[in-house]
Amino acid sequence: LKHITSRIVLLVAAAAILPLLAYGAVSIYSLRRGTQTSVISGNINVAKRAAQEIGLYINTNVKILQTLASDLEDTNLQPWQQDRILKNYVLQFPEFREITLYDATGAQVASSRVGASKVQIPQKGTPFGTDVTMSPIAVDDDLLPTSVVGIRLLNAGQASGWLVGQINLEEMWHMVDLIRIGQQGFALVVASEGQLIAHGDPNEKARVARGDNLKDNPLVQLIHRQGDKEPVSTEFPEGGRQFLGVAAPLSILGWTVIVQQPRAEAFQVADQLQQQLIVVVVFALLFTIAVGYVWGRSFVRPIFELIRGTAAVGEGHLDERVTIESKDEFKQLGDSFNSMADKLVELTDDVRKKERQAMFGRMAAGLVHDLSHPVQNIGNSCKLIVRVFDDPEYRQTFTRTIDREIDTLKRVLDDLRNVARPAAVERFPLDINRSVADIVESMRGFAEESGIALDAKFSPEPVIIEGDVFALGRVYRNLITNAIQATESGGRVTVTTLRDRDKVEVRITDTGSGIPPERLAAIFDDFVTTKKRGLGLGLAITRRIVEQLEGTIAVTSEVGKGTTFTMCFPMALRPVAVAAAAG
Amino acid sequence: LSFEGLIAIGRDGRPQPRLAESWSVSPDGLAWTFHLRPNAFFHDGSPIDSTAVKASLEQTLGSSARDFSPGLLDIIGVDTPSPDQLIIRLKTRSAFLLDDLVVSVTKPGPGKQLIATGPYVTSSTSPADVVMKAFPRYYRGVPTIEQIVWKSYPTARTSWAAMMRGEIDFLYEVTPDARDFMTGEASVEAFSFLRNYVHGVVFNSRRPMFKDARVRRALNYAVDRSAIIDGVFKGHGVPAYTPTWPQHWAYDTSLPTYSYDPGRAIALLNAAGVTLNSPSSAPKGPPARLRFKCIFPASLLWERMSLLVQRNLSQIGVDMQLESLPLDEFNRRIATGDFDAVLMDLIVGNATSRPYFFWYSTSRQNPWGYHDDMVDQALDHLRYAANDDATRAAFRDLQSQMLNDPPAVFLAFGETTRVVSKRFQPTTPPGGDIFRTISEWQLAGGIPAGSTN
Repeated sequence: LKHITSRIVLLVAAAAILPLLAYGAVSIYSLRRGTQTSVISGNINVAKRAAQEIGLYINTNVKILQTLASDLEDTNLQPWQQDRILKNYVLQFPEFREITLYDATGAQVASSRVGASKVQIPQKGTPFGTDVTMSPIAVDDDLLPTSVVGIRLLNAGQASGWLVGQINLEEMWHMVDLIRIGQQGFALVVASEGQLIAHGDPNEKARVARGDNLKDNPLVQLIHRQGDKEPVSTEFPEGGRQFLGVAAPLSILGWTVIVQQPRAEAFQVADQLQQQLIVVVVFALLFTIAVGYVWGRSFVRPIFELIRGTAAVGEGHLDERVTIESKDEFKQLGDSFNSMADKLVELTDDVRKKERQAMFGRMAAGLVHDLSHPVQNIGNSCKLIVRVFDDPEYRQTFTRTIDREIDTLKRVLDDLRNVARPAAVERFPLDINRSVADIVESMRGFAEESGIALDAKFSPEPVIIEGDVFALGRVYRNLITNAIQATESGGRVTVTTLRDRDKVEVRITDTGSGIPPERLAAIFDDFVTTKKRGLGLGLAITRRIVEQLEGTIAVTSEVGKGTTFTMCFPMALRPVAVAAAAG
Repeated sequence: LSFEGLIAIGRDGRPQPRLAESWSVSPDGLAWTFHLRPNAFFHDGSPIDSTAVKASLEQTLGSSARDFSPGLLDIIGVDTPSPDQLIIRLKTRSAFLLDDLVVSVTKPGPGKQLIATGPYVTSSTSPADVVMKAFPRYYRGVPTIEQIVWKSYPTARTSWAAMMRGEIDFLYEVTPDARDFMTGEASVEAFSFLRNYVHGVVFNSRRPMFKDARVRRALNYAVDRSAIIDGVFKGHGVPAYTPTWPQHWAYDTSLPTYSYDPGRAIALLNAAGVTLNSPSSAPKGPPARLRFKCIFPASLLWERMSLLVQRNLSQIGVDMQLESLPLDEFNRRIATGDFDAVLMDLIVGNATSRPYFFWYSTSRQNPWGYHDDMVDQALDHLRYAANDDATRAAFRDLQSQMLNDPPAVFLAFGETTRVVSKRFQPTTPPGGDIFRTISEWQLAGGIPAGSTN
């Protein structure tokens, strides 16, 4: 039963649960990996686009200045005209805080500022083409980052001065502020030397004013290690939180645009999908287990029913039947079982009927045998006595014959009565040696008539049991008679008593024909006999008496060599003196 | 923060009690009775009684401060019938009296120091900073902030950069271009309100070029005020046409205003005989029908505003040349009348007496030489108005006449922004200035009181 249940469980697990678990694990892994890759890719795209926009912002400003420079070159404008143009440019393009025109000697010619300019001609920095230079990010008088673009002016092919524009990086902050990823994702811009020049997080904007340097930022280091060419991504802790960061290079300026987002928010969708998938998988698992349980029970139930029916029939309840509701092979099996049980009842009844008939026949034959001989002897004696009644010797013989045959008839009747209603035993301490010796002595004549030597071997010490001397005498007589009858003339029957610790054994051994092994098991049953004649009640009565005396009886036999019956009785606990007195 | 008057003037121009908790006026309007607070003290611990207030008023009347307080000029006597009662007698009815009783009540202290009555006491002054400590006997309650350290910065940009770095807790003024940054800053809170100062290019009416009102009207039509509000105040401002406070209860919003109309401006100039000169006559400037120099205080805000006005005027052939000056030099030039025009802001609110001392022809605070009899008449009516109806009518006349004969190109009222660290929870008066309520600020939960800047 357990094997079938185990197999069903294993079947459900192998067929549904394990594949479902495997599917769930693979799906979760794929989902996480796919979503994370998608998020990182999306953030990288944002960073790249932000870098492009910032690059475009700077580039556009440079182009504005270049356009202005071309307006001023070779036009022979009056200084006031140049001055007005510069002022109008600053009004039109708030990306510039100041634009100033210098001559070849470095003297201010015109400026968008009213009064003296505050910007210097950049001496070094990032070249934009041949005549444009962008200064490195520097901190201005207000301790804020700033940068200056200088354009070399030419007049008739000769250097005629510089047009210098101070870029309003605060305007770029607006652009960076607009870059948002989720609720907490933001962008920041890091200059080539690591200076933080824009930060989109309102909580962190002060870091720009503080002049924070991010050269140790893992993303900045990573992108520098890769040559400022390709976007990079990594996760890193900051402020007690784990961040997903991506960085895109702004190669033309050597700047880095970082987009960072708390990891929990970045992968929130992935986490939610994963949780949903886990819930679905768990639900599917529970559903599968429930279905498997219900299905398994419905599958096993007919088996249980069949097992129950089989066990009941095995215990003899032949009227037990199984009820199987299903319409499958189990139903057929159940019907077959019920049919088989019906047939078994018929067969059993038939067997019993035949057994009864056989027993009755055997009893009748036994009775005929046991009774016909003495009756015939009595009848012959009665016919003869009529003719020779006057012969006193024959009358004595007649009397003996009649007594003997009457005894025989009484024994047969006693046996039958004993089978129907066993006689009660009366137990008293007795010496088993003495009881055996009495019977052996009484039957020696019968043995000698059959040409059998009847011997007795006694335990050297008195062996006392709680027994019934008359019942035991019947036992010894039955067994010795059977032994004599089973032994050919010239054979030997030996009766032995011996003590084995607190037990007493009585063995009756013959050298007769022996009992076939297949019949040994039933020889103590009623009406079973190995003899050609008789009721077969002797051994059954013998065993019943032995067991009434709390003893046991066993038989060993070998065909052609002989048979030994061994009886074992418990030693009496009473003192020997009492036993002796009783004997 | 150190100084306080008998009354204060609200944003709508109505008086509010301060050291005087109530007042009444006689039917003829010549006697005003003020009831002083019994629990108010000078910073030296002495009580603010009627005698002390009388002495303070007399000291003010004897100083140059009276020039800014025309309402006090009509006082002929001050009576002190009891310590908590003060009677001011006037020679004539004056609607300006309450406006000008905002002057601080003080008493002489050691040296030239004045002992005042406000919620904070100035404990030290140096070029680097000014330190104020809470006045423990302030009648409206002891301020939560125990000490305030004031620092000045060379530019507004420097100051908000310092605020962003967390070096200061309170920024008195944020320029419009930095306003967005500060409002987005998580650690601070920004409070904006319309400042009661009008920005404008005020002409020196003594200059012949500005004698003709048509010229001044033409220049008003030439200026695109909305562009200035967008370009300078980032959209946070309202256009101005007269030097009157638009939130004053008597302000008339139904009067016509100057639209941006360069064609009309040119027509007016042509009608006034102001025509375009030949190019050769002005080698250092563009050809112009009118050329004048405008001075302004050195700052990016003023510079940008001046450039926008300059561009507008150049479109009608008017060359407004610009000169940026340090503040001291700027003030000196104004005081001496050494200017053609001046770009500046002038206080216009909340009291009705403000226009009086700037634009009345004989006012000592009228350095631009502006003189219009009808304006003087309107200002007089305003000064001596017997009731609200008279005040409202005079206010309307003033607005109307200053539109007809503008002394300046009034440009805009701009919003200004105060920024406070979120360590503090300011009390915000409706539509007003949190600076005025600094003594009532509370600290955000769990932060101990300390100094602020």
